[in-house]
Amino acid sequence: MLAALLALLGIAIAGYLTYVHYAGISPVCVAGSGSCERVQTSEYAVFLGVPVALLGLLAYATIFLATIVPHPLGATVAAAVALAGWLFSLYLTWLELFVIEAICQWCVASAVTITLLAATTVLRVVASTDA
Amino acid sequence: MCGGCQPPIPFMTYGRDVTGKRTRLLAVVAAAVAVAAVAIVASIVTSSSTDKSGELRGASEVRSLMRGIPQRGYTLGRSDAPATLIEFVDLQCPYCAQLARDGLPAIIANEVRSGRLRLELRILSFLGPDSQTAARFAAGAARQNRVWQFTELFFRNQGRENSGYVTEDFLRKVAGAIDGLDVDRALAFSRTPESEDDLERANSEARKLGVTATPTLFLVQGGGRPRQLALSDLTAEAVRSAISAARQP
Repeated sequence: MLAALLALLGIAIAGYLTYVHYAGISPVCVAGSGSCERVQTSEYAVFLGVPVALLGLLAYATIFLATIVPHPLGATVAAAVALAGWLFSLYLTWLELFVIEAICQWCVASAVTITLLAATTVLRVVASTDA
Repeated sequence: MCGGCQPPIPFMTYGRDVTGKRTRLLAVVAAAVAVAAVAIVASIVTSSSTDKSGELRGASEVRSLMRGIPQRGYTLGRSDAPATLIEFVDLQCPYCAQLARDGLPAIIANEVRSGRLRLELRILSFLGPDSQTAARFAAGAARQNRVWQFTELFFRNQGRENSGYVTEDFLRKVAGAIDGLDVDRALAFSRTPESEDDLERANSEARKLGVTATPTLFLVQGGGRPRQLALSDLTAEAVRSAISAARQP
């Protein structure tokens, strides 16, 4: 349940950033000094021609479906995608801090969300019993 | 009959349960690490190279930055945009490169893409022979409405100033990553006297407006005279505040 809610939050954040990318507008930015824009328009914001935000949206959607669809592999898939997403988001956070040198609050929010998601989905796999 | 003995089977099943769970967890972690590693490596490699030729920086960034924005000659953006930003650059100038990397992408993605601003490039070549070779090729790219992709890519791949690095091979490598640019045609044009006319036009406009350094930007609004921007930095925020300041009567 918590995992599903977190995945929905992730969908909202990544969905907003995907929309911002395709609409050619600036994200709402608390930092105010164009930090969000600097991150969103950096060369790292696009991965093989696909906006990273869209990849995040797809990952969150996959996790959400995997947590609500009653399939025996659901929990495993959710945990694998969440963990991979968490690792990739560690790399993206490192880029923000040390390469782009600008922080986007939306990316931070997504990083926190995916961290919690990775924790909850992996714990679900660990705690599940076969009986 | 041994009342206290338990048949061995449940114990063995319990052992298999733990092993099964551990295997599943390991599989999850291994799959996640593998996928993430591939993605991270791909991101690093593609952020500094192109799929068309090796070792070219920024190709996919420039491609997606410019996609769908109208371009005519040296102008980027819609022709009915209410304001124009004229940018004087030298292709070898490192500060122009910094502006291209740090300042312009946000402006292009935002104000230019939404039709509020259009950009006009004026390419000077005072830094040396490599600047001239590059500028003449840029003239060829402008004839095919691709000069902005060319200059943005050039800025992200500058070599050592006046080391003679702007060779035909170098130009082919940079221009080869631009969709819709006929490199042979642009090269041929760059060797004609007509390409030098573009340089002369840019130089004389620079003299008229008192441009002595690059990058220098001017704001033109509603047919008014060009107003030079006072840039405090080479970031999008600095360009935007300079534009606001230049708008004051």
